[in-house]
Amino acid sequence: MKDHLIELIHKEMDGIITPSEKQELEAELNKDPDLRRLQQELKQTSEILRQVPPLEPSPTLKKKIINAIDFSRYASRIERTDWLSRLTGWLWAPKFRLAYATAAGMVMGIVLSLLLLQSPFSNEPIPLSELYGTIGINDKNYETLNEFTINLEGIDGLVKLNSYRDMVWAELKLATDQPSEIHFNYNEHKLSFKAWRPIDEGRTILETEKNLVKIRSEKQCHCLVLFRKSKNNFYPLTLHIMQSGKTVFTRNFSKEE
Amino acid sequence: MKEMDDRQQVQECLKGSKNAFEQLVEKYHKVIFNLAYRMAGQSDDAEDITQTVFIKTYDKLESYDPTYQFYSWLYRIAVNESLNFLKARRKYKNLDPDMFTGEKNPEECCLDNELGSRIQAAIMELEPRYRILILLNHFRSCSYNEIAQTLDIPEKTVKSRLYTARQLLKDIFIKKGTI
Repeated sequence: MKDHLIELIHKEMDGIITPSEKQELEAELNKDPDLRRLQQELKQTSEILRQVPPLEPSPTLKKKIINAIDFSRYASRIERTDWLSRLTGWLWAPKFRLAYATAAGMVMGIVLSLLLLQSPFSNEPIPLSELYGTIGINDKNYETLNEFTINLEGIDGLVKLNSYRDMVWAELKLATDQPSEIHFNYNEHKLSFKAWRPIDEGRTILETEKNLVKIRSEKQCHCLVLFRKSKNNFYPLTLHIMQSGKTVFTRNFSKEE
Repeated sequence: MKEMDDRQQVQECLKGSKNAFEQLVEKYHKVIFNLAYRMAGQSDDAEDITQTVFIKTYDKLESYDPTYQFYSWLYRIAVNESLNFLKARRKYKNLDPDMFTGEKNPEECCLDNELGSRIQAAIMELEPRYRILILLNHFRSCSYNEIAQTLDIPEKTVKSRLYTARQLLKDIFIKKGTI
């Protein structure tokens, strides 16, 4: 018996036989009694299967199934649905997505600028090391607020008052014929003493007291005295030069910027 | 509309609604039980399979793709679970042949009727790979394509196996005098 003809019988049972195939099958069935018997037996088999009634499970099966399931798996979402999503649900609306994306971009920009650049918002005091370098190379990042020379008997000197951002410093260059004591008197509410940088090392000694910076010099003194200024740009600063316990020079070089 | 309802029920389940899943169990547990019974041949086993099917379905609910019919997805899980059960039973049967005598419990006897029991006995003589095709085609009226998707085999294989299954079953019926 040809496999092709058997396939046609199955296709007929499944209702997918074409008219030409059906014609071919019927012609063969008329000629071949074995093929006809096979067709009848297969159709009977299919018919018997159709007669099988559905089975009823035990009435407790549904309950057994429900009891066997762990419903906690998704149960926690009930609470979220009930109050959290009601409270915050509007936040996730599509219309807010562009705003979130913009805000996220801005935050990233600020973070990057903080990391890569000096913060545009910070009011951090500049490091002294930066200031020293600025002064040392004598560039013009700073402003000279005041400058005067001293020409007295036995004392020659040059004093400059410079300012850079929140720092102010006096540069003192003196040549004396005897040991001297140089005093810088300042107002602690306006200035705070930060550093002293002797340029001729070993010839000057520093002492500080409240509102006072004292420098003892042999005969040559070249140094910087640095203060940090308050927000108020007025800072009283007075220079005294003492020799043998007597004040030989006084100059108030307070200045309002 | 019916399928829309199923999909909505699934969404409710995923939101934590126990009641929604209970309704799906109510709707489909008999169909799944019948499949399991035709495959396993014993009601106790069929109930165990049905229970496992729904537990797995619930666990996998998040992976359900709503573009497909929920029933088809559920039925596929049931077919796989039944085949897995038969594989496992074959292993145990080899270890202890007395475990599976084919005796029916009283409840099962109530389910039986003369024709039904003879047909079930004949179906049980088929290898599982043929048995499942008879179930899907003759009991569920699935098309070749649906069977191919359910069993994850080519449509060509479905046809050849189905034809073989019918002929084997026909021979069994003849042998038992059913036809």
